[in-house]
Amino acid sequence: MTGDGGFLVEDFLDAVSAQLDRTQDALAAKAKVRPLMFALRTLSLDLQVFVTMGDDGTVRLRSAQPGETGSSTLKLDFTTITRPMVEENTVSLAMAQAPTLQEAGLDQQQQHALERVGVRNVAQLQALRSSGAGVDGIARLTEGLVPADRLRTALRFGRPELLHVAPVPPAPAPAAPAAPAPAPPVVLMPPGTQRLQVVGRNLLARGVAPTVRLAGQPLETSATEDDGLIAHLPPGLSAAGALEIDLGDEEPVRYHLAVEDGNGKPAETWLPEAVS
Amino acid sequence: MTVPPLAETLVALVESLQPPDSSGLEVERASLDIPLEGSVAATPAGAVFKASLPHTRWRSGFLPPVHVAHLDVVQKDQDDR
Repeated sequence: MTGDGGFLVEDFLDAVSAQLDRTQDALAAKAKVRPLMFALRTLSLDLQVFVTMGDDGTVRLRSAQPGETGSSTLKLDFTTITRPMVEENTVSLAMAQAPTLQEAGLDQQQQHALERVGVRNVAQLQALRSSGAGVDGIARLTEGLVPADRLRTALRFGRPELLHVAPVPPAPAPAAPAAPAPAPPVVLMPPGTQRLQVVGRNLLARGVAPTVRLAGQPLETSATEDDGLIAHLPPGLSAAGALEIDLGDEEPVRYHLAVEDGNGKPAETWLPEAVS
Repeated sequence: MTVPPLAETLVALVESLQPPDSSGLEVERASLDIPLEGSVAATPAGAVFKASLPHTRWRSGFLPPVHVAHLDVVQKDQDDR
């Protein structure tokens, strides 16, 4: 692919277009973290190259070096295209996954002969035969370099084939139930507490303030900053239960809110003061 | 001087169009015609096109030939394709 002979055209063009892909990826990534960014809509390149053709018929391109004169100008135009255009101009996945000509037993000279008529794998060979060219017609297209019997052998290689038939093993037994989640940490508060202070970091990183729920009921919050907020407990509530703080992740962060019983331990019962 | 991959040069060129946040200016689209020095080089990862802006305006017999690139750049939200 390399050396003084330069690069195959496809390798040369791949090297250029890969840089364009990297550029678009980098600009797209930057646009996610900056308020305004640009996209590259078209790129035209006039490249100074030397074009050579090898004995095997392959065309190679080499970038002009210092002091060299008489180079050719290779004009390349790149533009962004739509998804339907990509799908329309892209070889199907099934076609790309087909056995190669080498896997089908063709030697290098026969592979090159078929590549010159646009056939690079067995699926494309089958498509060409199905188009009406026939096996003998394909052999003539290759100027006899690939005999008809070799083509038939290669085509058989690409046929659907059954290798094995076996009963499907029974489905595995359902997995054992997951271990119970560890008990949430307990937050002890003195009797009569009306506000909770929540301290953290990057609390506003998702663009919305965290929500705080006590026993499933949302609590009013205030003084919400990136590093903390104040949650207001409902009046008349002397005790609570499950405290959930939703940071926008899949699972909220859970605590168990408890009122001290005077001895620094959680009280046994949890009832609003108004309940008699 | 190490010549960077073309992508780094293009990203730097496009980024240079971004006006300062506090300027109040907005560039909707731009076209650039720029000279490039570089070549497709063999690396362990395969062929890579390395190109950058010419490092001098003086002409001599031992500088690489200059390629030309034309870029059309639009704001990201106007790139409806």
